[in-house]
Amino acid sequence: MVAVIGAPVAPSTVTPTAGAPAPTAAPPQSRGRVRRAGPPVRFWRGVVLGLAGLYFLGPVLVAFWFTVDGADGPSLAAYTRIFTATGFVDAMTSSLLLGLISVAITLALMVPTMLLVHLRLPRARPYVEVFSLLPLVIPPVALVVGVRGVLGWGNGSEFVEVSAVFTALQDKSLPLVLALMYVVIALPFTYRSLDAGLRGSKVTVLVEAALNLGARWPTVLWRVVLPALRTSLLNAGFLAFALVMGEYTIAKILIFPTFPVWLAQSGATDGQLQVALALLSLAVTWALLLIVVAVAGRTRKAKP
Amino acid sequence: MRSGTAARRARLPWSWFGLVPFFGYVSVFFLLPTAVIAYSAFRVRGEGGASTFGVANMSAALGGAYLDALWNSATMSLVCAVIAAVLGMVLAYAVATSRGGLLQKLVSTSAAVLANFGGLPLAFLFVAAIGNAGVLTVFVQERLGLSLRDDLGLDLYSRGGVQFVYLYFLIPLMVLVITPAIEGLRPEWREAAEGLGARGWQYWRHVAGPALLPHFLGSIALLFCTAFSSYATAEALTNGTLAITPLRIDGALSGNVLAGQENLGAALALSMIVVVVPLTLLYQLMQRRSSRWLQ
Amino acid sequence: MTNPSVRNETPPRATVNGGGTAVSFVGVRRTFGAVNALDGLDLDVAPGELVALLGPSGCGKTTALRILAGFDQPDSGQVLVGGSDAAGLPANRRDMGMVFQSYSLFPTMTAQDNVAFGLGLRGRGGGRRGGGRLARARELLDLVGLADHVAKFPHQLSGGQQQRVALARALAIAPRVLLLDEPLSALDAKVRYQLREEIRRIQLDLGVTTLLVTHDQEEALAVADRVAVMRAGRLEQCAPPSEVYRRPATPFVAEFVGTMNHIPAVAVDRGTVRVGEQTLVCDGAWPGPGPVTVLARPEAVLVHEATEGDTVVSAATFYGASTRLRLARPDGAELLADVASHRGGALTPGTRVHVSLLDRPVLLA
Repeated sequence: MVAVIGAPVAPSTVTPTAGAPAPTAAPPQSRGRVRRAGPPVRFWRGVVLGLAGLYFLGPVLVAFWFTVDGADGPSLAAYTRIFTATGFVDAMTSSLLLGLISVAITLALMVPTMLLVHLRLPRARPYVEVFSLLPLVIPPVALVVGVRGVLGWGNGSEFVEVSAVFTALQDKSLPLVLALMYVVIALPFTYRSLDAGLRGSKVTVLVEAALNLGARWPTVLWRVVLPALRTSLLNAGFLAFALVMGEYTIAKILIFPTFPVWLAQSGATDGQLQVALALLSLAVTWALLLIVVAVAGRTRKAKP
Repeated sequence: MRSGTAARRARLPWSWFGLVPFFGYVSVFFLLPTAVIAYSAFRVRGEGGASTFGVANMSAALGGAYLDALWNSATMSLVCAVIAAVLGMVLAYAVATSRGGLLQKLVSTSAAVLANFGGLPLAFLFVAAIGNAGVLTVFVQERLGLSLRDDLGLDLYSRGGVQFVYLYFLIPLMVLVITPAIEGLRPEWREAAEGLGARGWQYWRHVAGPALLPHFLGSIALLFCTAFSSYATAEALTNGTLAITPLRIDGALSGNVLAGQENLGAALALSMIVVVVPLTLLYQLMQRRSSRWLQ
Repeated sequence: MTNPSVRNETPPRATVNGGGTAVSFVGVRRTFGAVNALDGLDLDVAPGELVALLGPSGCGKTTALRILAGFDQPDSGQVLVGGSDAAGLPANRRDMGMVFQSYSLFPTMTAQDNVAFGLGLRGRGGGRRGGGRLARARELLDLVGLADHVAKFPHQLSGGQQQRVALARALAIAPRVLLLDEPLSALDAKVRYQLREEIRRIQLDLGVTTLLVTHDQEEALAVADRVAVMRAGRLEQCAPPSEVYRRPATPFVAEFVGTMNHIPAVAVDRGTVRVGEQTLVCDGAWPGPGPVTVLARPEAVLVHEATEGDTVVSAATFYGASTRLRLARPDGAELLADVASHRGGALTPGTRVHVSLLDRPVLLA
């Protein structure tokens, strides 16, 4: 058997500069920054960053004050009564399940598709790309009109089987139709994340190298491809999940009690609780994203 | 070798079947609803209850109060998009040229959260801050004897208030989309320009400005579309009363209006799509164009 | 002719343009954190001269260039341009054309507009929108062999063409000093050779004082009037290429420029050493009698086929005109020797040979 040495695999984030043989004697400092331009530029940058910090953190802090400001001094009561709030657990469970289902459908649909496109059908790439990015041009608030039309048609179908399926999709406690739509709405993000991962990790070369060494396809997929795509899978999964947890428009117009819909209504009975949950949802999403970024950074560093 | 090519040729049509789930899914859950919008928008219920094709919905959607809503949506979104683009650009530049890797990571992650998932929570944050019973509202009322709304003209539940909140997710969005372009400005360009005798403003006027301009304009288009399509913030703040198209669609779909309004909703949705599609394409085009320059 | 600096040998072209120095670094220091990028650099460049700053990455050569261009400031020391201190003069008023490693062309401008950019800023060549400016740009593009590409954008040009445009752009402002920061290192070998010849031709034609930063010793030797070898922020040697090659001032220079054999020898008399059975006149400081090491280039090692020879050819690598032999000495040491390829055919691995050295190896202090 002839051994084929593939092209060297570059880590996904490194942008090679046209095969420059050796770096210039670059000082340890970035070349882009000019010391001479120090004080004024640094001053204005400080001003901009300071104002931006105030602008973005100010409302958050004020809102936080709102949630802890009780009749008898500050208290965290608004945060402790979350789980006893009427309907919260149901709405949250529904949203969490929808999130997991959406992530599962997204990955099950897109990972094989993207692998097929990259490894076998590069010619199909433009079509898949266009189809994946299409949802960007239809605002959810418009798309939901069409969805309602389809649902209305299915609900009124003369065939019992059809209307039974549609009824199941619109179950109030777990509206699967939402999960199906959220997969579509997340599609542009999923596509970009997976596409970047597949290109960055040069999966085609890795697969050819593995096949050349005698590995079988299942082994190649499990041991080579999926590990190489770990970061972008994580990223795609996070985006789909966070999108489901925060999506309001479609759920509200189709009148399904997901977490965001419940959150919007909760203000009528408990304003503090609503704001507390709004803050928490932002904070949790942010924390999850930081974890994703940290994990991605670590895998990147682990590569030689 | 020969058998390999033959095998590949034979396999080719089969591997295309692997794409059936993807195209099937997108067709059923995206193309079908979209087609339904276009179809319903031109269906008119006749006198005998039978539906026929007609433009009544469209002319209703493009006239009277609905036209005002569309106009409101467009002007609101344009103002927000331009302001957010300028401020976001300044912020992105300040962050991109700053030293701290940690700062950049914090900014990019929080920008991603606010831009993608901020619409609804932000509305409640501002209710807590400057809403009717908000902390600042009460503070100003009690300490200064002033009303935020009546004396200072700061009404969260008005068009201005909604725009104000829009900026809180549009500026982060701008930071997200323009940062790669700013990082694509090569330090060599500035140094080459300076070496040739250019002053700071000349560098921006002749080199960096033209290089960023397509991306900047494209970003305004993207920001416009985002604001234009945004539903959650305005709905949560004004309870659906603000005269903008997304809320009008909701109104048309909600049961409390006359039968046949469903198709009016489709016509409104179609009018939004007609606005959004070319602008999104413009964004993609501009981005592709400038990515040739800024890599 | 007088030595402008103790360290530097007399520049050969110093008198061409009326003497004096075009650029002087005087005790220039620059640190980045704990790293001494420049540790007291002294260097004079004569008008019209091309000096190559050569050294491994991190030796400070780029820092020196950037300080001269005004993109960076020295912590201490002086940079004199045309005899006057350049400190405080911002980069955009120094009149120095710089060519960067790559990607420095303005992406939104055609080749012609790139070249005309500097002229437009100065209002040279007939007004901001003047045709004179563009005509001058075309002339310069013609000079670098791109007359047919004036209207192309950078992304439509190859790497070599982009660097030609960058060169024309730097020359357009009639710079006092031309600064070349590894201008060829991102290019393919063939384009690299071609362009370096052309850079040298144009530089000689225009007589423009030039500083070339490179890590490629072959490039430095091929085009420079003098090569300044740097290491850890200091100048190791600054001399004409043949001098640097034949008489490296320090072991570092000997190692960095070309290939050197280290050969054990015995110093017998002032200026002579005994290597094996040979007694040779050598260069370098006299350390007193005793065992020493001498340096010899592979081409200074003479190889004769001899069945009773004590040395064995262990490997032969064919380089076209010459063949490099790896030789095993009886004491276990290895020696590299370059022989003409027409002779190399007989010197296959395993062949026994006799070796001797050409006169004047360099004594390693």
